[in-house]
Amino acid sequence: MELLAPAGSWEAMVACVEAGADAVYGGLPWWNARQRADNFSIDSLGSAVDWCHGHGRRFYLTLNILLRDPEIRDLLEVVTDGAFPAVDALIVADVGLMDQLRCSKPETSIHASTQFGAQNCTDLHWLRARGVDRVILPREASLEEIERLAQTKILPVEVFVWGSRCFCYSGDCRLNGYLTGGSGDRGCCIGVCRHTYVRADVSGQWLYPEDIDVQKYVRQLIQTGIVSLKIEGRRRRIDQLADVVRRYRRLIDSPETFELSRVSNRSHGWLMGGHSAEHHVRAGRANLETIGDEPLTTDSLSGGGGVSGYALQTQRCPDSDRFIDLLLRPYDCGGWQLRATTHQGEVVCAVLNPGSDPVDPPAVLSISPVNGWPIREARVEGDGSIGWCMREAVDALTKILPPEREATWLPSRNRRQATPLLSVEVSTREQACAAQECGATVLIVPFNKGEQVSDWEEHFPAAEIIFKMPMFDWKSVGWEFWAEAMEGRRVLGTRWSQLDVLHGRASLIGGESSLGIWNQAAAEVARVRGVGFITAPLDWSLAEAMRFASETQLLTDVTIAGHPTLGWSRTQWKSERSGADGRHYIDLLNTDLRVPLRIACDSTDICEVLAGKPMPVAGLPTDCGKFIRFRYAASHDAPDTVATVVSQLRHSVVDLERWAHDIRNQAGPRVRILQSSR
Amino acid sequence: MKTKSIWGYPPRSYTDLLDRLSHAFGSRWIACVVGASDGKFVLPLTRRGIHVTCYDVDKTALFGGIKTVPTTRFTEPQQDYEPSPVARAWPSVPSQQVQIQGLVGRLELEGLSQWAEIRCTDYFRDSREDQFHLVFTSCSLQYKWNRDLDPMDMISRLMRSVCTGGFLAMDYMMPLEERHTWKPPQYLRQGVIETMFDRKDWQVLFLHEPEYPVFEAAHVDRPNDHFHRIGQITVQRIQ
Repeated sequence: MELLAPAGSWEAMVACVEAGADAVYGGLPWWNARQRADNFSIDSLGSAVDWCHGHGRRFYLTLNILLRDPEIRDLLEVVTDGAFPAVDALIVADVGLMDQLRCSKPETSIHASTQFGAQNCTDLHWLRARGVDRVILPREASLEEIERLAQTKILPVEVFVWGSRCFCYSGDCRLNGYLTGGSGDRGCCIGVCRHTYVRADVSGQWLYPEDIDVQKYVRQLIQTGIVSLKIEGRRRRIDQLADVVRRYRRLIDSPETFELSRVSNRSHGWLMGGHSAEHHVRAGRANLETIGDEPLTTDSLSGGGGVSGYALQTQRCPDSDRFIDLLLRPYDCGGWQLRATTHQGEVVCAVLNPGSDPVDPPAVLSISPVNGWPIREARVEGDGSIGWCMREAVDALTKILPPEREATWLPSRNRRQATPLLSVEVSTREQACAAQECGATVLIVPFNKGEQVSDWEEHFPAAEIIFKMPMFDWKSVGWEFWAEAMEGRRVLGTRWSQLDVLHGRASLIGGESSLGIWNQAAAEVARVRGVGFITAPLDWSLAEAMRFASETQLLTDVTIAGHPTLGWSRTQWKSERSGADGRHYIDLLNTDLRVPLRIACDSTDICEVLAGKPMPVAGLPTDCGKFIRFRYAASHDAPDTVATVVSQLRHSVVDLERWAHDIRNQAGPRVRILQSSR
Repeated sequence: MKTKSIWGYPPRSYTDLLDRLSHAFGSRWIACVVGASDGKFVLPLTRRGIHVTCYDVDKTALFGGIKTVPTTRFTEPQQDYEPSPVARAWPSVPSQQVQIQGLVGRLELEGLSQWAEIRCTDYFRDSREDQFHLVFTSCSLQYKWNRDLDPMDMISRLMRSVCTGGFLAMDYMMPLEERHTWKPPQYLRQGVIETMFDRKDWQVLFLHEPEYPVFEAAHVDRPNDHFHRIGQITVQRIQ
């Protein structure tokens, strides 16, 4: 039994090894999910690996984020270099990266990250067939599920025993992206689920699931047949980590020495099931001092002058070749979101003038010249229907640029009525009826066991129906039920292992955003599995999706309206009140970030939506490339709303000239202001 | 009775291509598949009522016989952890000998024999110069029998088989990475094939040359897991 401990720094690595860890895991400053840890440089990584090997320990390198194309190229160049340290395994979440590493670095073991979200035998078979050597199960797995998967011996299984939990399934959180602009899948998680929110004038960490500590169940875990117990916490205090490692070492070596007096008041997580119990999420957090943790609070996000954002990590920036890219785009709840991206990919996010539309140049100035670095590129992004706002934003950015730069504005010239290619995702027949009556021709509908495919087809004969596969099935030993039901039909796959079963049987296969297709390598994996279209991740702007679609030549669905999910959770939330639509709501308000939230709870599962401020209905182009289709996520909307939004979308105004220009230049931004550094 | 190729299913793009031709020509068009094998790309055509001329030199694939295929893996619990299938040295996976129906057998089983003409000969050395509305080939340029042929000559031969208004669609292998120069010239480097169609009488409709190779599990005649980098091009002869 291996005890795996975090090495967020050299000191933490030494402390954990001395406390009894068999192996440690750490990351480089880039390409890993803890980019705010004190990560290793490539030079110090070599020393760390040598030090571990010298002490008879193993070192695993975390590459556990979804990568963009430039990053995957850089990464492969680095890790395939002959001088790259001989780490014992690479922890990988990105499917495209898995393939490329297996191809170009076949001698190195690959561990599938918890971010991959493996749940069942089918997932494990799929990973094993791709050359993965170990799977790290999500924290949501119960003891029973862990045992079932470990006993199959398909792949060695690793589980978390200590550390924090996400309020969503690992790898399926979108809340962080909405609030900060940085995706948790990309290493930008700042723990927004730990922030204090206000509900009915009561502050609390409403979204915060308790941390886990399963010392009590170590004996049972060992008996399941897993190979590794993992401790989370690359940003934890070193003395705390050492203490935890020491205790788990003692428990592994002699489980009878379990010290009841030392058991913390942490949760056993989802280990013993109870996924619907509300106590996993609670207001406030007791015994903070006892646990000795330092959770992030929204205090650290606050800036001055009406600007909210979080501080840039500047200590890792080299002395030369520094620059920032600026992106200004309308914020859902009024105001503007400013994103400043450094040359290292670090992101500063700010909300300017929340609640009002005008752009305030001084507010931009207050954050844009980050440490006085040159601005390489400034972009304004928005929807075609708010041209005057765009002009104002361009003017605001122009004021902070050097005077010799000429702002380029692409005015509207040729507006015409459009009939966009639109798909509507619904969850009920009433929503589907409303969408179809208003002209929607592509319907994405759920399909679960016990339902009849023909029911949908008979009710909506004129529509092109795409059945969406379930996201979660912990007990599945194969997707045969769905594959048989989907024979000859159009299907939207939500898990990689589903695609192999559907290939050749479904008439059309789509890849949902949950697959995490962020780069061309992953797109190729999907393409050879018969995938004909994919869904752009919700973290992408329309421009990013267009560029990706153009490069991969895969039809790409872009969600431009509706209530996007903030993530998928295994916890059912306590119902607070009934809404007019018959569903239950808990109303939350993040006062610091000024983003009102509403958490809507269905009777069977949680679904979180942005309250009252759905994604804006944009002016849709008809010619933004032949590989783009638009999606309206209507699952949480009342039928009347569905009808209204579909009508708006179908009659939206387009600007062909501007889009044609972007396509020709393969330009990400819709308005390009500055192209070079000063 | 619907049969299945031991090579699996054609990619989605192939179905799209056939839809496009049906839209352009209705049902009055003919096709040629170079490297027909056991009908992975032929049967979808004959099922649409399209007459297909099928070229292949592999008699077993055409007329049936014994082939070596990988056994079904990973469906039963393992006694203990075995090395990953894509292990360090990429070893062979367990395989077995199976009887395959072949193209002729599949056509007969599906009652589609009248839609196909079988030519068990080497297309690139065949003197017949027929023309078709669609000429399709999947990786035949890189077939081991063609290692002594110039890839440009092979492509020219394919182009000559397309009638005016017709389509030529090809899948072709590329070097795993662009820096791999040790591959024979039949492995077309990025941008090479496009130069062949940079002329007035041809129009490139679709060109996809992926930057990355993709994993492919062991399959017929290839008993080890491996990687491919496969480009796709669809062109139309407009004059």
